[in-house]
Amino acid sequence: MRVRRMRAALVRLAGLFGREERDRELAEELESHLQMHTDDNVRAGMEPREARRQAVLMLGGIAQTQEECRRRRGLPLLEDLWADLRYGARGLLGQPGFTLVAVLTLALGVGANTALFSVINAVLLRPLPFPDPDRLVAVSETYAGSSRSAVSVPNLRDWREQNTVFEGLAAYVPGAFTLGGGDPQRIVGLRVEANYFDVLGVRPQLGRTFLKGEDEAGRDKVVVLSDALWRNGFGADPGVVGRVIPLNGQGYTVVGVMPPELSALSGSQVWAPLAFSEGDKASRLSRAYIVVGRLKRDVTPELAGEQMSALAARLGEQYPDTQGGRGVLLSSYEEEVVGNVRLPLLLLMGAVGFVLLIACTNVANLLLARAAGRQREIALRIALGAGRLRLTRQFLTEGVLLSVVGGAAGAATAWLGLDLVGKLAFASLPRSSEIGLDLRVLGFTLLVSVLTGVVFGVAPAAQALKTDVQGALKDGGQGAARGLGGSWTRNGLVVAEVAIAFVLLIGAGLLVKSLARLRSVEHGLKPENVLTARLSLAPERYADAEALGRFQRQLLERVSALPGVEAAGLTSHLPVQQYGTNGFVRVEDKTYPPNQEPLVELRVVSPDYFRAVGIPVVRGRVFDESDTKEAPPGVVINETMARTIWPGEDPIGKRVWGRPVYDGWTPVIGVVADVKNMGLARPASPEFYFNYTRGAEGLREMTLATRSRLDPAALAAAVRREVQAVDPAQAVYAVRTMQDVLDSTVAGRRLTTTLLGVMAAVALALAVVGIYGVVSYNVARHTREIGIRMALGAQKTDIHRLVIGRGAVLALTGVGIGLFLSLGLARLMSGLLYGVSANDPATFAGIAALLFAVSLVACYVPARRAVRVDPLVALRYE
Amino acid sequence: MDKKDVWQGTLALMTLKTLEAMGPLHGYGVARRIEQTSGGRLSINYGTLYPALLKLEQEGYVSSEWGVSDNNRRAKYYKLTRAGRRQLAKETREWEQTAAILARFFAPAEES
Repeated sequence: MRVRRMRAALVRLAGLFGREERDRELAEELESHLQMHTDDNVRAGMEPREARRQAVLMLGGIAQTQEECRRRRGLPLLEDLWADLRYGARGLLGQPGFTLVAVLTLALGVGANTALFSVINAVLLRPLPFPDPDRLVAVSETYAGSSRSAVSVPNLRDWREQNTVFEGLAAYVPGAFTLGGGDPQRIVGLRVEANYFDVLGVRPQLGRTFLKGEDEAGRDKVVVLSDALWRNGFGADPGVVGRVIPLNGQGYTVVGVMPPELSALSGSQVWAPLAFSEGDKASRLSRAYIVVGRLKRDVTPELAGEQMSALAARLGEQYPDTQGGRGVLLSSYEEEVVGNVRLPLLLLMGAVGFVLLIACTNVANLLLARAAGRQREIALRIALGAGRLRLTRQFLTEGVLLSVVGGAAGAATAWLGLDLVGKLAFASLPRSSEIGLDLRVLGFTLLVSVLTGVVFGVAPAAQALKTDVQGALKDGGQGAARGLGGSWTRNGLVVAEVAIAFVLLIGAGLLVKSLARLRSVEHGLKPENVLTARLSLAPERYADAEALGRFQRQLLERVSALPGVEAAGLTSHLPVQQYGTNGFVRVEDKTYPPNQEPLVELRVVSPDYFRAVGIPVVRGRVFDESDTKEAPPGVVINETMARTIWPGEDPIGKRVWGRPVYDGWTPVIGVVADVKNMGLARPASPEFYFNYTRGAEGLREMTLATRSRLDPAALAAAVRREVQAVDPAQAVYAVRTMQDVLDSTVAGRRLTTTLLGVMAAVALALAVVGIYGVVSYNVARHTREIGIRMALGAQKTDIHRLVIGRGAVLALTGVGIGLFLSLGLARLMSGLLYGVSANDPATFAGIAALLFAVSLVACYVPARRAVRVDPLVALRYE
Repeated sequence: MDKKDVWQGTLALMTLKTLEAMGPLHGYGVARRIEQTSGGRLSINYGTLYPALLKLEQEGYVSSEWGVSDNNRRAKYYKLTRAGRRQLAKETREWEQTAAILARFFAPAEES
């Protein structure tokens, strides 16, 4: 039976075609039926005309039979849909203005959603390109339960030997590489233990990864290339494996090329083996390595966390000096990669969702206005027997047709937008190179489009269902008019629009205020006319502190001698960026409980650094040329350190013992003003500065800061030249003005703020258009009422007040609801705010006033039109 | 068989049976024959026969072709297919069972 049904369905599907042919055939068949019947009737003795009449009567209506066969022949649902689509398309094409506005509005809303969803899809939704990414965890040490730190080699060894939860643990550390040749190029990469790729579970697309033992000194001159470097630097040459390339001034043999997804994730261009130094292997205080682990199958992160914490506690008892009070933290590796972009991205997704809602509301209003114009048509169709359900379906079809066209335009907009600006704007995000429109994104777009179509198709459909047929037909199409206030549905939509726009504006307002607060933070630097440039001296070419010092002295001499240069200094870390090195200090004459010594930021600088970036000296002195390796040592500290360790005392001459790098008691020789060393958004931490001539390890990763009387950008070429003069094979990178460095620390925040600001602006514009549209529509529909009022003596100001007042009530209601919503929603974004509370009264008041004022302006234009109504014309109207 | 549409189903069964008894026949002939067989007690609206024939044709139980009637009129002739014969046998059996069961319900109660 089922087979028969299917066969029938297929035949009926085929019946959609060749319809006229079949109609003709049926007509012939019925005609032959009538003729035979008539013949029989005549033979039975009837008049020919009566015979024919009786035959027709017995057949019971040719039209009905034909219609019944037609329905049976094709698929009525499909045919109705087709008819609705054609009817809808004709209607839309007949009103190109309306259609254009609606499609553009939707393209904007859907386009923004598609674009942002494609970002979220690439960054947050697509799983990491590793097998079982859920089993990958980042393993770090913690101190006092909160502050996280990297891991020392002896600790990693203990973890490896004593855990039963990991399949493997691998340490790595970001490394800077200079790709040699005529024009040395600085590339970023990772130094990784040999098992790193096995832990991640990635295979090379070419060659192999590192072998066991290749991460030991002497065998470690091998390198794995990223797909990007292989393509751009080596022309995608499949014979690259086995070639020796100049890296950090030495020959490294290429052993493999990684697939593209891996560089999209980390941005690294090369991977070289990580050979621990003897010093690192011995010291638990040298916590320098990042560790990733792969959990065994069936081991939950909770179980692993418990075991590792127990292990850490054991190590704490065993080595109280170095491991006391330290724990272990496991966090999902995915969270490490994308964790800090999740909140801003979700916030933006929420925002574009709101924009789409507003766009829907506007289109719904347009459709409602259009449906009101069609009330007579609808009433007529109902009177002629059209089912109300059938009419609803037609409205929904029209809505979905409109939204799918809008959605297609939106997908195109998103595609263009991402290609032109989006990829640049989001380039700083992890995995940004994977952003694009894929099937999932397009599916999302289609779903959103159809849903929006249903959403705004429902409103006019509901309106149509309520149509009062007799009234509408009698009243010349004005039957459902409800006085100057307009319909509840339309007013409700406008109120919703204003409320949503309010929420978005609050979000944008709070972010803008945070950004402004951050930018006006007192960072403690004088960034004007300061140029910074980074250098990384490879251990292969500069083996020890002596070699490093030689290069650095020569460079400083040369740069200081450049015309216009006032001061040039080196530092291990520029302030304001959110990284650095810290350590514990022992303080003479003060005792702290074990492992509770002050934690201070450690900076290694050359004497002129303070002058170069403009950090003023508060007490004592900073380093000078007399502070050679042989002279008595000294440290410079910042005000916060002075205040926290020696409150109310003079710190000059007090002695500290900073470990691990500088052993021995060292006197404080000077105090300098605080700088925001941990980023603009965080308060200055205690900090101490060592002279670069001190220390056994020397200064290897450094930033050169140069203050000049000239435009710092003009100095860039000269600085490069001087570096090349000292060492032609040395790369200089990240050459930026100090102001750029400051700006870049808020770049991500600025992107979020800008995007949310743009969306809020779009929302505001759409809401204004919405209010304007509804108020104008109401005015136009009530020209007669206005005319009567004026004929009865109403003044222009009365009409003004009437129209604007109605609009103002809508706007105020919207603002009120928006205020209520914002109080809840703004709290969700408190993690993104700086120096402003989520319920900042000034922002709320300002936005409310702005929105209200703009709404009034939107009402004013139609109000002016209303008072220009000529009562005589108005009364004759219709 | 669609239970809501008993009349349609019954009409289809009567049509199949008629075609079996009479051989190839046009719609008008089928309608007249059903009327005659019922002894005039069943007066059908001839028009409803055509959608029923169309359905049977779509399901593959009957096939049709144009021919010429006894009175030299062009007419569309319907003929039972093999699937139609099988279906008729099956439906006849089902119908008889149903009728038998119903008959028991309406028969005078038997003492057991």
